[in-house]
Amino acid sequence: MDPILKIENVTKNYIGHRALDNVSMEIPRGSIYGLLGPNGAGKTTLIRVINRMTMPDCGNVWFEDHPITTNDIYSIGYMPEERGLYKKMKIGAQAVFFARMHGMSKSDATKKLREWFDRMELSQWWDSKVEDISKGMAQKVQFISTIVHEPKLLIFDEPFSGFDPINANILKEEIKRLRDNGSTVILSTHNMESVEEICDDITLINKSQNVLSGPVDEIRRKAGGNTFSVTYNGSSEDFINAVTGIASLIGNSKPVTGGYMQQKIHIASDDDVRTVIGNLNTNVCLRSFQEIIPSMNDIFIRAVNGTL
Amino acid sequence: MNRIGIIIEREFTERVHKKSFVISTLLSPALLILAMCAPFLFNSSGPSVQDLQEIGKGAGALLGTVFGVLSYTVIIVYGQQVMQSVIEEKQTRVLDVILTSCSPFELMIGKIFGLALVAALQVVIWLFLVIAAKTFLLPAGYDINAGGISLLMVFYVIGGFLFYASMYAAIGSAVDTPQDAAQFNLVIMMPIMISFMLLTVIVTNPDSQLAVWCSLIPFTSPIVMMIRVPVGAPIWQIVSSLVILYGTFPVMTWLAARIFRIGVFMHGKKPTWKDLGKWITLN
Repeated sequence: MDPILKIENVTKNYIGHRALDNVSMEIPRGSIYGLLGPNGAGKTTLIRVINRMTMPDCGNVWFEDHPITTNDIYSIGYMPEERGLYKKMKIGAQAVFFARMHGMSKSDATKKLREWFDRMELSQWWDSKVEDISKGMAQKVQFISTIVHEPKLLIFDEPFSGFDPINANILKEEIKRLRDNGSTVILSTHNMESVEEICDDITLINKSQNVLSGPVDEIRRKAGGNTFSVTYNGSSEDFINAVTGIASLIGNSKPVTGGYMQQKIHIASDDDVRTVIGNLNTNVCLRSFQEIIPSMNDIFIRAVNGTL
Repeated sequence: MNRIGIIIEREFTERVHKKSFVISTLLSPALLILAMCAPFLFNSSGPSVQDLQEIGKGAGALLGTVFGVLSYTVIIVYGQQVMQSVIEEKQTRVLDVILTSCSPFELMIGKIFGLALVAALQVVIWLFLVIAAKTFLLPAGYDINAGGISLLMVFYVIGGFLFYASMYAAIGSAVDTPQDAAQFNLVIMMPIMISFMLLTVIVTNPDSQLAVWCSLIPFTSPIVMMIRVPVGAPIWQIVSSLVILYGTFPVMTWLAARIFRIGVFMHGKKPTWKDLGKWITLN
């Protein structure tokens, strides 16, 4: 599918520090795109480059089929990491204000926002000020203000920070729904579980460089490297005899609950998987045969440590 | 254009609905009127014609002083508000959100004109109260053109505010905290303070060369001319000083906007005067 946003060889230097080093990526239209990386890796700088809040020293950002312009920016939704709401303004009024700034009419904005406030159980706080509501509620207001004008492209910087698990789930569902309705979502996050749950594609930035890019499923499968976990009933000698020559053992068989044994193996060639299963089936009583797919958390740590 | 309107609307409604606006609008003129009318209220024997002429002169000087103080107060108080509101938006990161929906220039202009409207509303209410007080409290036979002077007052106060506000906005955009703004603030306030300190000199000698020059230079004219008008200033001087004031405020705004567009995105480092200069020339 054609990318909605294309980042080409973007480099950004600050005094004595390179924040982005020749970073490229393509964000597919209609996807949820995760921007991962340790603190200070350059995620926020990249977002600020996309938003044209800071200009790259070299490289380009393409939106649809042209270099991104400020007018494109005015049509996106952006939720910064440090939340931006007026402390002393009623939350309903300021949500209407932000929506109108994004081009909605007053009546349209009010109507849509009332619906959203209902949905997020904020209705009774419409006339409260930010300083009088909880941090979680303020986060919801911020979220609603970001999406109410139904932008084509949404950028969330650490959207789940400050949310309890219940509200974080509500947020995840809403983000998925936005994608299903046609929006493209870019989110930066440290929360690797949420990446597995909602991201279609990711880019991992480490030390200002793009170290890993691609669809989440593909990345996890590749990182697994054809490793399998086998649970069986029988002797470990029989097991070893069955796989010798076609698969290599990782460690030794260990007893697991139920009196079974478990063994990790590596099968170099996809074609050999069936042979291994066949051989095992004749030699031992197979209970389970499963590919080990590493969690995003593992991948994140391995990628950052350079051991992926 | 539409977005500027929305920003103006927000600045105006948020501020006018504040308790502090109502209190300052009603309380300050009460004090002023008291100060203005005190000499007449305590003189119960009734003035003679000669007295009236004397009083007329005195009242002009008094009115000049009052208008000068008023102009000074409004420019400083509202100018500071522009600065504070930019700093607050920067600190709470509202700026980052707003600037994905409008340009820095639109934001700055919206803010300045929103506050100008609030200032205009407040000044107009004050002047109504002052004129009412004059009509009811001053003895008959004492006549100055309060209506005309009041209208000029509005033009000078708003012109002065517009002239200074963009600089306050620029400073607000460049710093992270009000503390960091202090050194810049001091320099902006210098000409305002100087005009204020000249008050007595100008009231006693309204046609001196110093008075004429200061009422033409836009840095001092909003205050100095307001002091001179009630005691009599030539029309040509009033007209030229207004033309100069309103002609130079777009220049100030343009310069300030050059700083503002960069300042709003700068975090963590207190800028120097040199930095501000660089931002003006940066493409």
